Amino acid sequence: MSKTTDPSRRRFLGGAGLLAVGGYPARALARVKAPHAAEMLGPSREVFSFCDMCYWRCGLKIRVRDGRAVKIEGNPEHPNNRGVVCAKGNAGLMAAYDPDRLKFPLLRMGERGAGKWKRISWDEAYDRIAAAFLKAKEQYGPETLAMIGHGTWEKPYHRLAHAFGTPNTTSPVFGLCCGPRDVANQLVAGRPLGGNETLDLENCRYFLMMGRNITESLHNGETLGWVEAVAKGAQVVYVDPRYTITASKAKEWLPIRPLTDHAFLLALIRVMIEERLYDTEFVAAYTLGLEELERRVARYTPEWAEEECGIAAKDIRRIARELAAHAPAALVYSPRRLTRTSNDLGTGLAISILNTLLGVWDREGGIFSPLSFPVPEPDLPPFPHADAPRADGAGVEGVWPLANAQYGLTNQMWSAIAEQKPYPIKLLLTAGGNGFMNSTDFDAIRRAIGQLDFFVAADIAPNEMNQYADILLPEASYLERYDDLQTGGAKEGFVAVRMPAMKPLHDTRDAWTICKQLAGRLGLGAWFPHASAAELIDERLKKAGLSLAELETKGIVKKPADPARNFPREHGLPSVFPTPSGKVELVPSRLKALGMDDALDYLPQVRPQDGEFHFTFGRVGFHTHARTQNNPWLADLMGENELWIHPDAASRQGIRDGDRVEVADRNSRKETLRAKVTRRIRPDTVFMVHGFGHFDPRMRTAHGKGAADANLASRDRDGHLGTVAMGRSLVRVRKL
Amino acid sequence: MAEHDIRMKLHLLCAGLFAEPEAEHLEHVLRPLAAELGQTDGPWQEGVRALPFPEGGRETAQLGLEYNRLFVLAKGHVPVQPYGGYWLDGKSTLYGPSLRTVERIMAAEGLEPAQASGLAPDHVVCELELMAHLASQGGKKAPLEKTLLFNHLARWTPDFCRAVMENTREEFYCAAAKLLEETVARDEARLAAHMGRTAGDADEEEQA
Ligand code: SF4
Repeated sequence: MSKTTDPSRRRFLGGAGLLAVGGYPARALARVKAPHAAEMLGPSREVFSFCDMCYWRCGLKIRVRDGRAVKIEGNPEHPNNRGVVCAKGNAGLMAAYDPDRLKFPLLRMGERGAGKWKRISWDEAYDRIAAAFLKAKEQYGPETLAMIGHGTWEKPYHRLAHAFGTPNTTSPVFGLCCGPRDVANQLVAGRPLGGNETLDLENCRYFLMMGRNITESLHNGETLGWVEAVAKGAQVVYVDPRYTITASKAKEWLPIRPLTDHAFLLALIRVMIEERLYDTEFVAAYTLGLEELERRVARYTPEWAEEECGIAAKDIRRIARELAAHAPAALVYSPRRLTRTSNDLGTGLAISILNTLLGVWDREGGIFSPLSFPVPEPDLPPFPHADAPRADGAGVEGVWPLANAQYGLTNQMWSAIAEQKPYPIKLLLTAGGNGFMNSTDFDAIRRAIGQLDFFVAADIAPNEMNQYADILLPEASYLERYDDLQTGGAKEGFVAVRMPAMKPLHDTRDAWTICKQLAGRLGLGAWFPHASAAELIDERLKKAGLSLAELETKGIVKKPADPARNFPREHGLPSVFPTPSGKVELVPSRLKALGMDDALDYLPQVRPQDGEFHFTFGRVGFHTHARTQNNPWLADLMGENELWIHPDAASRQGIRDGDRVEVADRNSRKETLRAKVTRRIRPDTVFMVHGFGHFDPRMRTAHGKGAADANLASRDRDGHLGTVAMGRSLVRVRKL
Repeated sequence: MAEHDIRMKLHLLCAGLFAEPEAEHLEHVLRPLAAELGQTDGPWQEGVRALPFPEGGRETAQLGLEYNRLFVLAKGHVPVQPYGGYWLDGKSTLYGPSLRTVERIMAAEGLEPAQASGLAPDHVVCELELMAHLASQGGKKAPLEKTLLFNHLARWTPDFCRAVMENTREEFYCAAAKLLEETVARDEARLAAHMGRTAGDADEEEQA
């Protein structure tokens, strides 16, 4: 052996327990702390968690053997799913075991997006990030940081960004998804129904589903409740340009012209008022503005609506009567993603108003009041006051005052970065998410990234957006970490825990650790006083008279459902509507004060010219947004999307089932995929499942499969909220 | 040099060649190791002598980029996954069943991957270092060596080495893959001859 070798002085031998073989340092192996014997296949145990494969967050029990998560099961105690786990939830294991996963902190070496990386240590990553953040803060002020998140793990990043002093934190949930629905309910009743809507599905007797494809855009608890009601004989009228699986369970499918739901709903309101079908007692006691509403909807006759939306006037009258006959166990069911037209707020308001006229608030089979399980947040110093207004204008008077300032308008944030207006945004921190595939403007995203001084992305898997990062931080998956508590408001109040089923694989770290360690280097340690996420949630639980140890034995602690509080009006108790007037406002006062009450009126939408189609997209039961297409188990169930096209339209273009076609919008954006020729869609409309067409080659399973709806969906906006009007694209289809 | 000493060093050298390149490690550990083996007569001599170690910081940095491109993350997909389980358990999962065997052998020896390495137990570096560690004990660990070789290294490193040779743009990795391929093949022949056993036997023993 060479005498010059003195392995003992090597840095990589520094840690206690590292192995030397024959005097040479090993680079990867270490001695275990306590000597132990070879293990046989060990018994399994279970830990509790909640799912992160979609945003419903079902309760889980994760079976663990030999330190690895081996099976995901549902927690029967959890109200979000009552023990059921869907295909996506089951495939959660592959989020952790995916070979394509991000495994080590990486530093960009070549051009942005060129794919040249160097593995670096966490310390080096933190040091570089902190240096870049502090430099830009010094030069441009704290508002130069934008934080875009998507997932349960984003909470600490929001905290980090607010402690840094920026107001610019955002998540797609509002501007690209549920915003209009929530604002509408808030304006009308002061009660946004939340992500997990508080609908008493099981007891409902009549559903008017406005494109709410509940069996495919599925969330276990919600789908279960709906299926139970249908099994008990509830009637379903399903309104959608496409015959979905949900349509197949309905009594009636109404293939409405895309983008005209508002016309149909306005005519229903008119009939309901004209024929005094509404709950007169409720309307008299609890609402304001009926007369004004009546005047406003006078012009929206069923005959007018028939012209606009294609649903026969007689059916509109009949449906209004059927709804009323089943009220209060009747619901007009909003789509979950209500970002389609340039007046989605109007559609949301009409749905909320109809439910109000039916008197379903706080009634069985209608809308219930949730119980909460308050668990105080830890005591932290107040965040520094941000002098600058939000760059996306969310919640800013004179810009988008009605938009939610907590989640912001992600689309507007990307534009603000791209244009560097109203002020320079030079730092971007992303936590999960994929700007390309969940927004609708590839150009804006590219331009935005080009404007940045520094871009750090944290995620568990590669995607189109994070390939442009300057530093890429590999996160522990939800199976490998504690996260903050899940506190829920269903009929039961609850608090649930996410426990790690195994240690973080590879060289990954959980979001709390990442944010705490970054905060330390940025001088923001005061906002991250806890040593770990476990310590944080233990402190929160202790304030609520519980403890982490206790919660870990059952996964969830519940406050039992209380019928008198869930359904006060069934028990002779009053309902509470926290609007400015304390009443349900059929013509919302805040809207009037802002001069935006024209949202109540119909705004005509685009119509296809000859040879054009409405472009629609939506979800399927096996995939969540653009996040799961690379999951090998889910790709097995559905590996690529197809373009649904009606046989009459297809034959005009000589397209047969399975042909490759090109879809192009009016701005010459193009995608190619296979055609699915089917009568299950209107002849003037095409459809594709959302989330495919990945162009990041690091995603070996999903790369190049199918087409990206995000590259065809419209970039227009709702004029009142700033949310995206994704449904306004018109496309042509050509056989290749 | 005793046979087991040579085997230990060869495996350690191969492990080092597929670890993330670091100037200090290349200079003070791998080069001397290769020099020593290159002076010892045997069929490995040529392969060891052919190793084109980087000269200077720039070449080491270049090698680092290639290492990351090949094994960590690239513009295209990771061209060569360095995990045994990837090749043995169907290419769609890591931390699959085959990894458990390696973990058990490690546990029996009181070893585990060093936390700071961030490497899974079936990473090529871990498996080769484990083999070096077993070999260093002069045949006392022959049954474990046999399991590790026949059920793991010999089953996946040939594909891995071929993938490296097909994908790399650096002579260094070509030579390293060739050396590993030959080392494992020689080991396989040697152990099979010594013990008169086959991979199938190793399976049985492991299950027992
Ligand atoms: S519905 Fe499925 S994917 Fe969504 S949280 Fe529940 S189990 Fe997970």
